[in-house]
Amino acid sequence: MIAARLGERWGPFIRLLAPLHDQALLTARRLCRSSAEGDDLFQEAVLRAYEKLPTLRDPSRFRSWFYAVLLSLHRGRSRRAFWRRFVPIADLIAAGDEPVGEDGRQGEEERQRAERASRALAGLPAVQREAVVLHDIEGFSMQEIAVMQAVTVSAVKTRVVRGRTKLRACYRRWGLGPRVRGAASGAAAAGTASGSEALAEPIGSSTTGMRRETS
Amino acid sequence: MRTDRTHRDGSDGSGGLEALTRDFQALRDATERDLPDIHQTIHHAAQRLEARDVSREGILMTTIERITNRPWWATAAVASAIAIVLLFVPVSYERTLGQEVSISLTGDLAGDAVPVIADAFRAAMGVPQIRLEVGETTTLAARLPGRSRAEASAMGRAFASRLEPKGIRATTAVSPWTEKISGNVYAQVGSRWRDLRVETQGRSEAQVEKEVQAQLQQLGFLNPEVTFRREGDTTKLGIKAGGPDDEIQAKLERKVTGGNGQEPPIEMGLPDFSDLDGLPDDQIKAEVEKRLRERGLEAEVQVQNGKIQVKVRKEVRQ
Repeated sequence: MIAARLGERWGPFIRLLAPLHDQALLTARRLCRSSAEGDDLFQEAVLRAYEKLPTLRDPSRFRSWFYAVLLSLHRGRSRRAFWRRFVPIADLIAAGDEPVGEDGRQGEEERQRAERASRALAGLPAVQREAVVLHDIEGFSMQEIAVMQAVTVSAVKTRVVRGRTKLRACYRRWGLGPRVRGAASGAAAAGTASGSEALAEPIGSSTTGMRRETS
Repeated sequence: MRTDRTHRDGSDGSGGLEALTRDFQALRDATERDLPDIHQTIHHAAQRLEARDVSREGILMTTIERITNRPWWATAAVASAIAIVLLFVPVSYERTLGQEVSISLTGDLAGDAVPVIADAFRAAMGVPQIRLEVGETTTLAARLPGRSRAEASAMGRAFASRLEPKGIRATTAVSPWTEKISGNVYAQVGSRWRDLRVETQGRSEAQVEKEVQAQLQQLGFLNPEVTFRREGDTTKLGIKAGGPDDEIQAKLERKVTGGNGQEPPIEMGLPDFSDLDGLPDDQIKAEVEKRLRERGLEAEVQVQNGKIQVKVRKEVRQ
């Protein structure tokens, strides 16, 4: 009966949300420091979108409109999260979210990698984090992200390039980067004239990504 | 799913940083686990909506949330005269991070029932960890970030009602989860300003520079370079921090009149303009000037290729 009542009230919204539910939820999780936090952000976005649905003029634009709502909430939370810099990092890591693999060691390695990526992404300004997650992890095009972030395509490119540069710098600080001739030269190359070339392919969509790291 | 795209050239696309590539893949895999379906999502959202509807407190929390999401609303709401006075008044304040909901269990609890209930409680609250106290009464407690009291209470009661058919009585209590912050008034209305406060009286230029540098590092700025000079009754502070793409430059020139040679502490807000990334220089300049004006600062702003330089002039009268 409760389901029927929900269906009656939320039916039209569910029909719009269903095709993108899983992907948008994954985006929310990847933007946040933990899956629980991501789920909470997503629920809030669902609620906000549901309340604002009457303002959506063209239902065919629901996808980009919903993502814009999600990203707006994400930025709001990021601003509020400023003071979390002073909270010990261990408090922010979802201990209960540890994945359990068939091979315990591999599972632990995978958990550490996911945690490291999440930690590095958390160090980016919110708009850059969004651009990198949407482009490099989710695989959205620059045009799609521009609509979601309500900025120009060139602004999105700048955000992606700057975000990547910071991520690489962060990984180098952690001793995970390649030995380059000069860190600054690498960063400058990624952030300036060669930006469009650097953007030709997203980071992290390699099919060989499951190889073990021996360092 | 878009996550299995391959590269045309077979490279990892990360400019040689394979660790990042593999970590992104691990993040994809980790976040795909235990994905709630759309019906669970709608169910939770409906619960939150219901809790919000039935509570006036919910409405109040929404308003507060909107203000904290848009700090400049709050800034604008403060009369400018008061704002200028308060700008340099450090205060301590307590802020609510969310709610702590606790469930006390009484009744016939079998030996293995508590861990099962604890797991279910953690899942129902949507948090990574909970607190468990076992004594005469067994208590489970979870901290719910960003929730209103009504929402937390509704979630607690909903969980308690699930235990009743199993012969377990559960009482729910909700208390605010708070933290104490020391900052200035602007930190309360918008944490996008990072504030420095340095005592200069009786300190050498090098000591002041070192102190400012330490504070910048603590605030998360990379590679801070600081210069502090005294020229008669004028002091000049220059700051340069960040990497090649996110460099922040700020200069503060202060002329102290009166005060029998006493130097008041330097207090300076360093704004976070990262949300302006990618905008044309003239738009960045206009927005930066606007934000500085809103904070009551007369400033000279230069923007070149996305790099922002802020020079603030302010006369302090005692």
